[in-house]
Amino acid sequence: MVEEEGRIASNCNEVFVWPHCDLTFINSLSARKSYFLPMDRSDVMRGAKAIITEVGELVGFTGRFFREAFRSRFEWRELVRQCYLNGYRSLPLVAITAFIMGLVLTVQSRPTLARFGAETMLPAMVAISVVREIAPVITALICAGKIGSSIGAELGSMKVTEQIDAMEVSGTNPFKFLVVTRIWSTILMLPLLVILADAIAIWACFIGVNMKGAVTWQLFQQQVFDSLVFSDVLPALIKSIFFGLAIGVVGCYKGYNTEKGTEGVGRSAHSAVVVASLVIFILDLVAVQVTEIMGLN
Amino acid sequence: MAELRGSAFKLGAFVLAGITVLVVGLYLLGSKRDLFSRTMDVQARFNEVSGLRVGNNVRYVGIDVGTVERITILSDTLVLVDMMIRLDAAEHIRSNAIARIASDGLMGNKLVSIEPGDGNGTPLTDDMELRTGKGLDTDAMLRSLGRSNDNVVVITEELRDLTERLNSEHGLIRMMSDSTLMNDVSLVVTEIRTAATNARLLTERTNTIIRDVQNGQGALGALIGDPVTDGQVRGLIANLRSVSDSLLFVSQRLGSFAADLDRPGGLTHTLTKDTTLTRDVKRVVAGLDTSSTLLNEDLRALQRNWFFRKYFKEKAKGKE
Repeated sequence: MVEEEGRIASNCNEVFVWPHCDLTFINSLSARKSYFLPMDRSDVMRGAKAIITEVGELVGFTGRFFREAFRSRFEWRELVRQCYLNGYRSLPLVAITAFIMGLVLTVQSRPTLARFGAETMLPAMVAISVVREIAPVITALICAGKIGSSIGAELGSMKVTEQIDAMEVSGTNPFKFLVVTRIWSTILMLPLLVILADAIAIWACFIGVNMKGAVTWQLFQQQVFDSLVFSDVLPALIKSIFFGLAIGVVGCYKGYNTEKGTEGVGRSAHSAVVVASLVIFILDLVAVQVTEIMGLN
Repeated sequence: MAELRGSAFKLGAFVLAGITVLVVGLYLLGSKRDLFSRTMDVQARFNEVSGLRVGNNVRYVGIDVGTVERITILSDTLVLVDMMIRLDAAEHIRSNAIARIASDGLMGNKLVSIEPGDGNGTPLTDDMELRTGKGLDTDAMLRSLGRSNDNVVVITEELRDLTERLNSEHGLIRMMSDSTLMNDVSLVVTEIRTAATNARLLTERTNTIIRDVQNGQGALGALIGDPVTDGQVRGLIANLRSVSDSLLFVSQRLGSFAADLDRPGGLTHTLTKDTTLTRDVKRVVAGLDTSSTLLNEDLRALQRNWFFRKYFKEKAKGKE
């Protein structure tokens, strides 16, 4: 937007002089110039470089987590607190979502299966869909929104208010106390949330099946467990561990590297959700390929 | 501190719930795959396994008794299938049982179906090889279905033609929708019904008459059934024959008489063919006519005669 100090382009074609402009305001606008002006090759290169740099820093941050994660001393109490906040407190949201997901999937799939006279395959179809893909991904996305933003905002606030610096000064390892505990909590809690989401969604499927039919619980669970195999459950659980790692790492990284005051806190929370969601989808894609290669599909 | 304990309790309950669900789920999955039950290994050799996979079910008389453990290709036409069968089910399976590749419904997974063989077999033992049979060939079914489908297409086209013809301008459907025709048909049907009723009544009457006749009732019955009447009728017929003979004789005599009349010189011949007689007769008739005229004149003269006048006057008065 700003070509030079005091000159503002309102769009690509029009340039006019703003004689009484505030320099701070113009500087803030200059940070957003790509929103208003068409990007040239240098902008693309800069963007690509920024993304690659961020990926590198994220990998470095993850490496630092793994170095610190298995080194004593553990902050057990903080870990339990974070597990409570990130796991138990997320359960209602995950449970409601899983219930609706199972019910809607059942109700929506019924007409199509009924067209082929395969309504009896409904429990098996929903169970496989939920266990293999839907429950892990949806739970991870919900947690990315709830936990990722929470971690990003909390650590970002601590960073901009210099509480993290204060912890370093007081001899506490802030990375171990703040980051490692949070990432461990997401790694541990996400598979549990996914398991419970699986169970709730299958129960909702049972309700959905009985809304327009009559299937006993015994027959329903037989149909469900006849259709499921270990290769459906285990890859999904392993996948959810990586989803938890991604949510924790991205949230902590964004919060731990917050800059530019209170505005940066909001940006960290926001970008933590966006980046974590993106990473979840990428990990899901990788997981599908890996299970395919391993012959588990 | 109390808050932390409360949180820890909730977290503990949450974690235990998750782990319990996981353990129960894995146990159920494992029990479906016979991981927690004692099993026996049996084998079967198939020419082809139609998409059978490791982990597919093994069924004995329709009950899941195990799973496919391994599939090994032995040669270009032989596949070895290792199956894991639960011991409690295996004790019911005999060595003469037959294994086939089957399908769980039309769209379901493939499975190995074991069926009891004929006769008595020995109990199944570990690593025993079962006999195999030809399973349901889905491709053959589909081919047959394809042929049926072709036939259905032909039948459908013919039905369509038939329907079009029925629905055409002079078709049956159009005729049925014509109210006049339908009224006529209705009338015809009514008349047919009436005729049928009459025919039924007639038949009943005829049956009654025939029955009466057979029972000797009525004139015809008496005529047919009564032996006395029969004799009388026979006599009557004999008399009729006699009368007939007499009539024949009379007619022959009359013919002879007529021939005599018509013979030249006979009365008829003379009257019809003799021209002299005709002329004479005409002359006589003319003479009679003249004589009659003269007689009339004489009579009128006589009436005026004083001697007979009184008589004719009295006669005239008597007529009045």
